Amino acid sequence: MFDFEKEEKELEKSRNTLQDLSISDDIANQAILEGMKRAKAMKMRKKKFLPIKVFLAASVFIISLITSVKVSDTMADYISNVPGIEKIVEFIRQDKGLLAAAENNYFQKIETTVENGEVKVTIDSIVRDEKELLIFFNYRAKGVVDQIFPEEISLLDGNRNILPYRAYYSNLNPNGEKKYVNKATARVPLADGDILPEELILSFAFSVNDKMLNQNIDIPLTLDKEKFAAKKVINMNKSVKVEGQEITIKKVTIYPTQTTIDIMVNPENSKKIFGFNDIHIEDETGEKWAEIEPNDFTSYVNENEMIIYLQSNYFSDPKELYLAFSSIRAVDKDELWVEIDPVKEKIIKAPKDGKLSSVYKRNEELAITLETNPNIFDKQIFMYAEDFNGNIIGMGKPIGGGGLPNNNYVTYYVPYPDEEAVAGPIKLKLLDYPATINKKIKLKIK
Amino acid sequence: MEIIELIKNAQKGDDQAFYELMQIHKIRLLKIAMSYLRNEGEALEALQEVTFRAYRSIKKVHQAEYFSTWLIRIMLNYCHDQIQKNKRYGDKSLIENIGETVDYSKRIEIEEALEKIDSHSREVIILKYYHDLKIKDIADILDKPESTIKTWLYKGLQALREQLEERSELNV
Repeated sequence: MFDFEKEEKELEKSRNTLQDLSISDDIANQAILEGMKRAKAMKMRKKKFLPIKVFLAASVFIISLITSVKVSDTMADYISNVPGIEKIVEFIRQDKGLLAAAENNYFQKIETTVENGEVKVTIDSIVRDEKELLIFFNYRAKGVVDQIFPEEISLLDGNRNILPYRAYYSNLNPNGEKKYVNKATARVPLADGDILPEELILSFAFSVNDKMLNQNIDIPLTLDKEKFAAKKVINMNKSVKVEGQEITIKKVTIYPTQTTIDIMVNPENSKKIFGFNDIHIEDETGEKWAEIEPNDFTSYVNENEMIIYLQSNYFSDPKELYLAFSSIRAVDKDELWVEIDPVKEKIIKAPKDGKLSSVYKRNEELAITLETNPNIFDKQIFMYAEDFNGNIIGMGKPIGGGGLPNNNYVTYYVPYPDEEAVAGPIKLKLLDYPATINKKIKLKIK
Repeated sequence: MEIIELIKNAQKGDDQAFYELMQIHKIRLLKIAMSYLRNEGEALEALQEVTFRAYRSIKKVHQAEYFSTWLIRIMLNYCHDQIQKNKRYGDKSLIENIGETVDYSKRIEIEEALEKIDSHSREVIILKYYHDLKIKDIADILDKPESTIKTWLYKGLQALREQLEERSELNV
C-alpha cells in the first residue's frame, strides 16, 4: 500500500500508553454483573408489564419499576414457624398487613398440585377479602426449557364460568430459563364489595419458550368462610390545598390484605397530580403503614380520582389514625405531553426542568433518558408514543424501563417498530414525573 | 469450554456461560471504551451497559463466530451515543482531559490530530492501530465492505499526515 511508517509509529506510541489499563479486575467484573442483573430484572419486568391494550381499560394500573425490600425480619421469622405459612413468608415479609393477617390465621392453606406433560403448578395458600384474592403458588417446567411463564391466570366458578377478574402475577426470584421451581404470587383485584363464589377454579395458561401450551392447568379450591373478614370504611371527604392545588381524601377503607385511600383532585387545579411521596397511615404511637411493595401501584378511577394502596392495619386497633405524605408529584397541565422528533432523535417539548434529556431510536424502541436518581424515583413515566392523530404506536408490544444503580438517570423504552415509524413528531403522555410540590401534610383519619 | 459452546449455553440462559464470555472480552471492551471516552468511570459504565444490551439480545446472534464483532459493535454504538450526549450537554471533558495534560508530547499531538480527521477514518484507525482488529473484522463491525474500510483507512492516514505536518510547522 502506501508508506505511512511515520504515522504508524506515532500511533503505536500513543497506543502503548492506552494499554496501561488501571481498572481492576474486580471492578470490571462488578460492572459485568451489574449489567447482567439489570438485564435480568428488565427481562422479568417486560414479562410482568401488561401489554398496552390492557392499559386502555378504564382503570389504569401503574406498576413501579424498581422494587425495594422493606423488611420486618423478626416478625417474618416468627411467622415462618406458623404451619403452612413457611413457604410463602418470603413474599409477605415486607408487608406488615399480610404478616398480621397470617399471624391472625387469615391465610387459607391449599397445597394442591396439578400437572400436565409440561408444567407442574402448586397453590400453596391464599388470602382473600372484599378487595382481592391473593394467591401464593409455584410452578416449574417438567423438562429442561429456556423459559416458562404463566401468561394468564383466569378465575372460574365451580361450573367453569369465567369470572370477570384479571390476575396480576409476579415472581419472587424469577428464573424462567432453567428447570427451577418458580415461586410467585397472583393478585386478583375485586370490584369493591364483590363476594367471590365459594367454589373456584384457577386456570393457568403457560407459555414455554414463548409458545403457549395448549392445555391450561386448572386447580380447584374452596374458599373457607372462616378466613374472611369484612372491610372497615371510614368516610372522610376532607380537602386540603397545597400550593393552590386542591386534594380531597374521600374515604379510607381497611381490608385484611390492604388499606385503600380514595383521593380526588380538583379538575380546576393548574397541575396534574401523579402521586404522593412517602404516603402512609400512621397511628398515635407513630407506627406507620406504607405503600404495598414490591407491586405498589396506584389505580386511576378517572382523570381526577385515584386509589392508593397501603399496607393493611386491619389487625391493629389504633386509637387515632392519620394519613400523611411528604410531597406531591405533579407537573403543570400544559407540560403533560412530551413531544419528540424521532427522526432527528430530539426532544421538542418536555417539562421545563430539562430532566428528560435525550432520546434515541434503537431496535424498534425509543430510549428516553430521564435525569433522576432511580433509588428515589422508580415510576414508569411513559407507556407508549402516539402520532399527532392520536394513533398509538407499537400497540400490544411490551414496554420497559431500566435504572442504573449508583447512577443518576433512568432510561425508558417505548415501542417504536420500524413499520410504524412516522415522519412527523410524536407525543407521549406523562404518567408520572419526579417534579414535586414539597409540603408535608398530615390529616386525621380518626 | 469452547467459545462457541459458551455462546450456545449463554443463549439458552446459562448465566455462568454469559459471564465467562464477558470475562473473555472485558479487557478489549474496556480498552475500546477508554479510547473513545477517556475516562475510567465512563468506561466501566460502558462495560456495564454493553453487558446489559448483550444479555438482552444474545439470542439474536446467529453465527457464533461473529459474537466478538457483535459485542464490539454494541460498544462502539454506545460510545458514539455517549460522545453525542456529552456534546449535547456541552461536556468538554474529552477535550479538557487532553488539554489538562500539559505535556504536549507526541501522544497528545497524535490524539489531537485524530480528533481533527473524518470520523469514519478515525474509527478505522483506532480499531486497527489501537485494538489490533483486522480490516475484515472492522468491515464486519461497521457493516461496510472491506474496500470501503481500506479507503477510509488510507484517507485517514493521509489526513493524519497532513495534520501532523501542519503541527510541526506551527511548533517551529
